[in-house]
Amino acid sequence: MSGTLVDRLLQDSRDRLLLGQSEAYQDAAFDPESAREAADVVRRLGDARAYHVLMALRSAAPETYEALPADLRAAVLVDALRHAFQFNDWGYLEPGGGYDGPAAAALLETGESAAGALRSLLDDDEKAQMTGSEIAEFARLYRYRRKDFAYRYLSLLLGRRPEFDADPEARDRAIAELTAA
Amino acid sequence: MPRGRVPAEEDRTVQATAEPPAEEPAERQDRPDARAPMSPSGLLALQQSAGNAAVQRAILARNGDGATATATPSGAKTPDQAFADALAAKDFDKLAVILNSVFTWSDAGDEIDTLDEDQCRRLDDAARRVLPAAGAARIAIFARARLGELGVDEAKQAPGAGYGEMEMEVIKVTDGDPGKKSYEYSMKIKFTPDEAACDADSIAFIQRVRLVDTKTGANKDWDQVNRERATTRQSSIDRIPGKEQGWYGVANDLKDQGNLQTWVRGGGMKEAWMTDAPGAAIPNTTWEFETAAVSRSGPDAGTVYGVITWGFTVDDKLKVSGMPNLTFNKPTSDFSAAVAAWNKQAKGPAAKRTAPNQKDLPALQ
Repeated sequence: MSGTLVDRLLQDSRDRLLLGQSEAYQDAAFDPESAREAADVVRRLGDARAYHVLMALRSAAPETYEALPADLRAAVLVDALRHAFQFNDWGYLEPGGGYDGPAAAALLETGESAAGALRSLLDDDEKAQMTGSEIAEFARLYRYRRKDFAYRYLSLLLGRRPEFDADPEARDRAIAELTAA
Repeated sequence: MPRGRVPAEEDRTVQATAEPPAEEPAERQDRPDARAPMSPSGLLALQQSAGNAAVQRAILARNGDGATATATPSGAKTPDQAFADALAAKDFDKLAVILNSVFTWSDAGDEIDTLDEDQCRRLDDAARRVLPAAGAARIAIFARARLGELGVDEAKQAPGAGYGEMEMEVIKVTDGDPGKKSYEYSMKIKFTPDEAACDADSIAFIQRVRLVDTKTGANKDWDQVNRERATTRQSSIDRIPGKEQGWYGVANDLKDQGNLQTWVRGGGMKEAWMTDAPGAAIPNTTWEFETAAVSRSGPDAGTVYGVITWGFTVDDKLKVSGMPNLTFNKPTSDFSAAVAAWNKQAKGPAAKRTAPNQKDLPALQ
């Protein structure tokens, strides 16, 4: 049973499904043994391949999840951000703030462990797509890039107030300031 | 008032013999009245397969108390009774079907002549939603002639024109590329109020979305919070996590986001507008939207001024095909159900709300 669940979660990571699209994630339930096995998978892979397994543990086996080293969780999550196809799990950005989705919340829980890896995403201009209606309109309207998300999380981890301007050029200036800091 | 041709059928007290037809098509509005033994679209299917006489029998056999239709003479209704019952229940979908299939066109015109402006507009809407085009066109002729008799200018008789002008522009349609790129359907809706007709201090939009598997009708919304407020048709009020307001594009501080312009009386703007760009990489889906321009504040707060239905389908290669954009006076019952579900969610457990301080939407009129 647990192997089947982990296999399904791993497949959903390969398919780059959103958490809300993953039945395995939504139905996830672990007993102590299967949670331990799932945690072993996270330790062994240590990158975006284990994203759905990690997030399922966070949701359904929090004690096992919290026992995983913060560095490891940060590595999985930052790699998931690096390879994200749709960004809904991370929340959204808008002038005046934004909303941190479950993946962002998990990343912010890791503390400064994620800072170094996030810095490497600050020059990633790739368009960040959103699945949905109004949230997809935000992505179009504000021309989201992957680095906009990395900037927000790095700012928060460093105790800085993240700015989000509707104009990508203004955001680039804020990113440059953070990079120089 | 112009009258249509009188059809051959004149039997007005026929008994029911028909079995309920197949399920309503996914793209049709579900019937809110669970007591009804047969839906309007079911009646339509029957009408198309078995003719008007069978439809007459099915409708007239409905009991007034909502019990299952019987074939006994005591269960029969006259057309006038069926009309009066549907009108009393404000079931305009049913009214449209009855007028289209039971009455002679001359008598249908007489019945429509008894309606007030709001009833005429709702009947016009219903006819266009549930009847074949020819039937809807005939009802529209009668309904709009009646509006003329009631003193409504010809320019304001069209659906959605009673309070101003609803317009929709499709800005850009982009096909997706499986595994690489999302599809996108970018659009803008404007409502230009007739300031004399709209007793509003501000006007904004409420939007219903229904994202389903085209073949099965299964809900494909990835957001659990949205799914938890879905109607029986799998529709929900279209907002994103963290937003307290059910009003599309309204921020938690009540200001407009970048995808909305609220019309404010005396604010210098000509219109209210909203933009949307639904997109994803989910194949084989139907994206159905219903967007209503609604008084957000002022004496007629909650009054719906106009409605546009729009959307698109996506095939297995992520190719997008737009649906017709249709304008109506008032929203569907599914829209009202979505508003009720939003309000129920707002009163429910905080953990299951879209935002901890999720606010009620107004009762719609």
